[in-house]
Amino acid sequence: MKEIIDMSICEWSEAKFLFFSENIWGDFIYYSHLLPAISALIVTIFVYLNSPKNKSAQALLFTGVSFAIWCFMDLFLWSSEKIDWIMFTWSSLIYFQFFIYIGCLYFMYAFVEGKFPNFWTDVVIFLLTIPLFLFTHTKLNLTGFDFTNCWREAIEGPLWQPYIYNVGIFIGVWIFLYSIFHLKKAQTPKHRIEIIIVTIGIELFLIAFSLGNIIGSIETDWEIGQVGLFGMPVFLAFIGYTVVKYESFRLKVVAAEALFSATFMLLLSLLFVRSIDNARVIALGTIALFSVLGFLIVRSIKREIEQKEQIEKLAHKLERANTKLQQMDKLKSEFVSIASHQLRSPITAISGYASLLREGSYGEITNKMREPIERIEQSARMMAVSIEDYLNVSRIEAGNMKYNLTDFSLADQAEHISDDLRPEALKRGLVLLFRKRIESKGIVNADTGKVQQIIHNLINNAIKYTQKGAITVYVHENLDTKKIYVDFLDTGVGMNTETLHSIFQKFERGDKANTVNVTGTGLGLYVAQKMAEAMHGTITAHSEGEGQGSRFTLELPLVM
Amino acid sequence: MIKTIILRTLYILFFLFSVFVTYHQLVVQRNYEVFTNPDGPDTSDYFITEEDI
Repeated sequence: MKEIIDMSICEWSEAKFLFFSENIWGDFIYYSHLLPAISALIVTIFVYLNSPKNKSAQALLFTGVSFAIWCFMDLFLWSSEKIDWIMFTWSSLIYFQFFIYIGCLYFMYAFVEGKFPNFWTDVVIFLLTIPLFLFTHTKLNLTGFDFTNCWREAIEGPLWQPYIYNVGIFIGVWIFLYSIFHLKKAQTPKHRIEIIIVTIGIELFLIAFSLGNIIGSIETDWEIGQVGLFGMPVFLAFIGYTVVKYESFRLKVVAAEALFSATFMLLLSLLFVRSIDNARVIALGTIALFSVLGFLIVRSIKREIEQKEQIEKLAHKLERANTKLQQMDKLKSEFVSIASHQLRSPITAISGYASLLREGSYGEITNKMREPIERIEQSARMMAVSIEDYLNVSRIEAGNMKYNLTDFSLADQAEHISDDLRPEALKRGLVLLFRKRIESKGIVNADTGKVQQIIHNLINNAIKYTQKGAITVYVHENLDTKKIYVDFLDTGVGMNTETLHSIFQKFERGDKANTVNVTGTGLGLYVAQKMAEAMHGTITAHSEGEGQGSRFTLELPLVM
Repeated sequence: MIKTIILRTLYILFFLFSVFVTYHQLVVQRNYEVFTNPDGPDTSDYFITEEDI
């Protein structure tokens, strides 16, 4: 006949909502369980949600959740009056104790290396768990239930003592040695300090958690075990410190949120402490623990506010500078408009009237008058060219230069312009030749006017810088690269290497400009180069040296 | 990677199975021993037989 226990003689009260009953007589029980469990859950979930792909955050979440489950299960053991459920919960508790150790180990690996341990570490963990798989349900785990003097306690077997406690020590040593080994390999001093802080946090937690349980188990005084649970807030405080100080996990707000939530839980848990004296002790401990974290977080937030204020000041300065720039840009546009309409128009008029005078439209002119009139006409033309150069530079730099792209024959344009300028060359005693060697039609997609301006400019330069000899305009192509080239070869003054490097810069003129009495703004090549680039082409310059002549090449993409 | 996934899957399955067996043994079968203190106070009245109920 099976004997069953008459539980009514113990006058155990019935647990409500799993965790609340008069069976819990220790003042610290709720405080020691709820604070670490909920603070662990809050912090680890926050950290995980902020960086879910971070391996450290994943391991921390696993540790936090395992620890919270452990705390709630333990709280249930303190509260429940149902022997079979106490036996089951206590038996299963061994797994979560093991998971906490493993979580700490994985967290350490992920924090240091940014990845989880390798396969063989997983195998070691698996092997360490085999005794749990095999014996958790047997008397090797819990020998039985101690009913003596109405105690509601299980008697722990060898699976707890010594196995799981030794596993805890083993993992603690493993983490310590791993940390020492990797401290030497840390790449930055910051990471080294992070490793030290996190290692101290983990070791303090493991020592407090394991030692509390080991002493509690040996002495069968489970109130001692409660103290060990405070290892978790200490661990979290160390993690919080690294988060705030070194911005690990790239979190900051998390620390403030977690602190607020944990403080809320502390105040809530104080409601369950029945003795006023104990409440004072708890309040003091709470103040000490969180004043340190609070100080760090407040300091961190202050820094952020200072940085934000600096950024705002800079943004304000930037805005003012931008406004000033816009005003200057407007002034520049106005200048361009003035230059365009108020300078160019009179110059055109001067040039036109001088031309009419020279041609005799206003009556016969004497030979004595002809020379100054011609000089007026020539100077006006040069000034018109200079103004056009300045206007072109303004347009290019403001991005206002407009290009009307059409398909046309570059070879034909080069030939026409060569024909137009041949009399000018002849006037200076120069021969201007045109050659072409192309198989295609030499069609390019570009702005006809701009290309004419470039060719005109390059031939004019060649004429200006050549005192005797010939100028050759040579059109050729490369069908493989789909490029067409116009070479402008002269037998003029040539250039040294230094001049070659700076010839396309603004206001740069050839070294011999003054000796050969060449006038110009030094903007022609700059404008020509910018125009060629805008049409996906380029202009290059070559010279064997001073007195060796020059070769300028206009390159544009062919339309096939 | 595959080896790790297989190992961890096995781990979870063994864990769940072990918890289930423990539940069955301790909650369903109530297969555990209850100790009273043999050297302490008389605890014979702690037990009642099924006939007494």
